Amino acid sequence: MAFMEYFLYIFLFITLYFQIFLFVSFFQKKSTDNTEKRSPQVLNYLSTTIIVPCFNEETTVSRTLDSLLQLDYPTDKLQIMVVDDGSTDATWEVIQKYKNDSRICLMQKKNEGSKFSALNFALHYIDTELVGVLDADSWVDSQALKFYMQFFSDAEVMATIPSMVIAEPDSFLRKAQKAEYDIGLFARKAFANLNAIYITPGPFSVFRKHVFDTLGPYKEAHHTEDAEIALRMQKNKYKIAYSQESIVYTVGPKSLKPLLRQRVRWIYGFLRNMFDYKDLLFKKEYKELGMMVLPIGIFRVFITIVLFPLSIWLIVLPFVRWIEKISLVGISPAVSWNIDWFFVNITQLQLFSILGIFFSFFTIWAGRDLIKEKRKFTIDIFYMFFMYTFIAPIWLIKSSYNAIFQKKGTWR
Amino acid sequence: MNIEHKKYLLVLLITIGIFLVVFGFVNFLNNNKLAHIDDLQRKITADLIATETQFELLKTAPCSALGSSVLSSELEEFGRKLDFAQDNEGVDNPDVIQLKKYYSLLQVKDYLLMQELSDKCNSEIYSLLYFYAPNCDDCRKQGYVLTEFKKEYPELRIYSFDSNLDFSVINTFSSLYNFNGVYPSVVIGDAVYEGFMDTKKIETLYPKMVANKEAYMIQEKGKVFILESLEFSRLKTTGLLPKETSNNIFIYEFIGDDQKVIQTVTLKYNSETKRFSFADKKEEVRETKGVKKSTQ
Repeated sequence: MAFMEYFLYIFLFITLYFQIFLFVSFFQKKSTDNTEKRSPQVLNYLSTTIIVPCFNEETTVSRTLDSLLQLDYPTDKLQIMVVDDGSTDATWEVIQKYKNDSRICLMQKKNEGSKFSALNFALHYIDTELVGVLDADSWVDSQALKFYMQFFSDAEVMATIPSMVIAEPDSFLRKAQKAEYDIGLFARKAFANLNAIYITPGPFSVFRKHVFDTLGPYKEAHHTEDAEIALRMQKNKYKIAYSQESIVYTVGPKSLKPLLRQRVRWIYGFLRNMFDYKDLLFKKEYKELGMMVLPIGIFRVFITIVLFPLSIWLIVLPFVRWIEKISLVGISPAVSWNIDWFFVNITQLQLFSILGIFFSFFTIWAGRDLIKEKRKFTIDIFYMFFMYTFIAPIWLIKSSYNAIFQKKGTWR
Repeated sequence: MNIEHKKYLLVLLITIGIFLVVFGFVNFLNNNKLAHIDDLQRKITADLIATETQFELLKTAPCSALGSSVLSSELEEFGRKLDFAQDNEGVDNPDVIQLKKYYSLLQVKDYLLMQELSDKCNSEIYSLLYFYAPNCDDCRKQGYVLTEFKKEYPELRIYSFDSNLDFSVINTFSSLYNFNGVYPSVVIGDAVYEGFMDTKKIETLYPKMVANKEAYMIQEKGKVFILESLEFSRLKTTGLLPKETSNNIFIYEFIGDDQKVIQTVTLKYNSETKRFSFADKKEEVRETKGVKKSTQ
């Protein structure tokens, strides 16, 4: 047990180190930022195509397309390519109502089992300066694309990603995900300051066409093509920016099973991609991304796998002792309310937990401040704590098991 | 050193700083606790010497002048707090070991003193010596049982000794008994009982104490029986005290405002039906009326 404790403290030290590192990075002014942000009036609006891949999205696709049509962006500079990836529901019929809009182009293809093929299918037909993706379960704020132009005015910026927000959370798990995504924004900002963004998410990442012309199209990449392309860009020192004011709303999985499936796919994809891109790890030339962000990302998966059984044991052991005791002497009815402060125990672990909770609250405050949300501390934070204590270990353990034994999950 | 290295170093320093503060704070608290136990130990030592001296002084004095139950509760508190500190600090902490030695020493002294007291004054003192070893499952269970047993019978004095404590007093003490080094072991009087014992088994070893307790419980029930019966509901009294108990006959006295006995009640207890009845009901009722008249 003493050995386990040292183990625990070493893990805690690394975690705390990284957390503080993120803090410092969050507040650090980006050193490589050499361009002055231009005001939107003098921005150069680059011609843009947004690909909307859909597979059985009959209920959400209209909202996605409507939000794109309402983007505050010059009509002649915006193209929308809807790719029906062999849907078996009424998606194709639903999107027919947009066929007369000059900005929208409808396409249909056979499903090949992964999203990357739908994206590459559309890429063939695109000759605009920018190419974006918007998943059909997400929709954008009308100013989102306009804000991107501030970043693309820097010729070095090859892609820009938005602030992702869970839309209209209506279930326990969706509320938990809302808080989780808001915390994610804090990390995203810190990573952006470090030039260490390693994922360009499906909801509204926009690239220069140059990226695909020079690095090639999307790859299958263990069903996480959005992580692979970002890593490929990082490997080639292409800059990825984060536009915190561009907000995109996405719908999280409502119930446990799809959530687990989604997360197993993400973590599995991350681990497998990390294996494919292990050249990035611990290389000085990749700076913070290679030295800190990616190694810690892997470390965080495995720390949970080690700590979860340990913490379960720590919870179960007193319970086992208690059962043993009452089976011997029965439940003693006399409860003393005389609290002797001597017996109130304060341990290092408790103090670290308090510190951790404090950090979490701060990161959620900072994350919500980025998207100018007024209500900073809401009940969903506790839902998130619950999700991360009891549900996250399941997907982390399952995805690492799959990654090690190379078992593929399904995309959807 | 470039700016990036400075950042890694700065973060490292902050992290180390936080770790030092957390560990330092907990260490400070634990040291305070150990200091508190140390104070407790000093107090008990002083009390013990006082009792001993008193004992010497009053060798010829009546036994009633000697208090016997003062130390017991303090020693118990000392033991509990030491146990707690040991769980937190670990068995290897030198301060804990030192305090445990003190604890054992005080226990032995208390035990001897009580033996002497019981011999001289012919008073009944129930004691139990408990020898255990750390990391032994049966000892943990025995600990639970004894803790509960002590709650049930507060008059029992339990002295516990950690066999792993390398301490000559314990070694000498345990060598007095025919002791094979089996843990847990319990010594009652001169008899050694090896291995785990449950509550029932221990109860059989103290027949008198258990009988007393049973009699006491019946006595208390009898009190309730009297107070609930209608005859006495209008009696002006400040208390009902048990006077005598023998052979299923329980005698109680009602005490009036002036601390004088205003009425005596005798109950008969049927141990088969577990019911009470008034032993001389008719007389009692008549007497009750008389009392009421006189008090009105």
